[in-house]
Amino acid sequence: MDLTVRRAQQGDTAAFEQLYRDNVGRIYALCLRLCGDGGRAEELTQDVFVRAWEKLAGFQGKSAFSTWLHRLAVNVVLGDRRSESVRVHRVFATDEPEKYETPSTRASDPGTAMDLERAIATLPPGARAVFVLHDVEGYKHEEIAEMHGSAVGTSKAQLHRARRLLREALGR
Amino acid sequence: MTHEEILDRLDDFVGGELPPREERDVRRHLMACEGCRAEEQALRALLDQAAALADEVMPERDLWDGIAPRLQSRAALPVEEAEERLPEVRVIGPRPARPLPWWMLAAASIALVITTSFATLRFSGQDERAPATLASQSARPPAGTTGGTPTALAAFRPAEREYEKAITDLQAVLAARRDRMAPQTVATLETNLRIIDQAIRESRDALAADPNSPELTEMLSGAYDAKLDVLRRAVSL
Repeated sequence: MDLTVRRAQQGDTAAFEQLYRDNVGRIYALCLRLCGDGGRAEELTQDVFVRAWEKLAGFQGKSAFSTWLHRLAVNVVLGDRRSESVRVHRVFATDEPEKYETPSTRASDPGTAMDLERAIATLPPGARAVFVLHDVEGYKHEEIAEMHGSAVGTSKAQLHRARRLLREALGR
Repeated sequence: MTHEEILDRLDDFVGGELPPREERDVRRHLMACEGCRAEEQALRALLDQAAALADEVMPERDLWDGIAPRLQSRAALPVEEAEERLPEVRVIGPRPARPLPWWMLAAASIALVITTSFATLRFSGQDERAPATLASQSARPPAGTTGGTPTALAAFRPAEREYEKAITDLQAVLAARRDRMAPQTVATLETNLRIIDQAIRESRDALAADPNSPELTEMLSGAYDAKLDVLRRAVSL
């Protein structure tokens, strides 16, 4: 097991801070895409790391720490009932495209990438979650259905809806 | 299949989740139908774009200041039972790495399905006809007919010529663009094509030995479809 992880397990907050810095970009990206709101994504990211600290003693290194943390983050975001109610009622942050315009997102075609990020943020919550988990994060329908406690067909229907809405939003 | 039926299946098609026969039907329709092919390409473009999104997005502010005060001392925390036993995490595997365009993985899956199907056929007892067929070749009518009726192999030959022509054309286009492709992409492309070529050879040999087998004809046709699909996508990169 990684020495930094081991030190964090033993209560070393400096080591845990290092783990935070190594992983915050990926976790924040996941939270942001899943909830569609920059401010809420920050709160969720903090919740993920606090939860990780609480559960870290049980981490045995059977998977990479980053994989374990990613699983935990998906669970925190999907399981967060408060964020769910917020997501449903909150106006999506499409007027804040700069949230996505950090250096790490400035790829060879930044305009296109940002358009897609913004379009994802405008999706209905259920369709957005399935699209992000399936088409961005690479989970299978069976896994997504298990996470949501729904049928595989529901996941497929949400994905179909999300793709259609995104293509409309992107003018394709 | 109608256009609507094809479009209804596109999500599963691009995900490699259709049963082999439906997948073949969709692929053939797409080869002939420009409108549905445009839909397929638009969908694949969206998926490629989604897969290429940045893995990391940094928050605008440092979130650590909101985390550190919430970390209780290790001694104050309840003892965790075991690692991945996060009760509410009922999920999943890690995010698959995507070092290559996703369609190459799909192409490899297609090739695997073909070779696996071939192996299944071989060991399912149907292949046992092949030695018997070979042994009785001398008693058979001339190749291409069975008692005056064209064999499945003979009936497939015109289609095979069309396949070979299309493949030759695409390979010429690909050869001209090869220098612009990443070495890893070229290597994976070649690996996939080798697997598919092997499936074509084996299917063809088996069909030559058993020229009336509809299963082998379908398998050979599927292998050609897979090769065309891989080449067409490689050319469009």
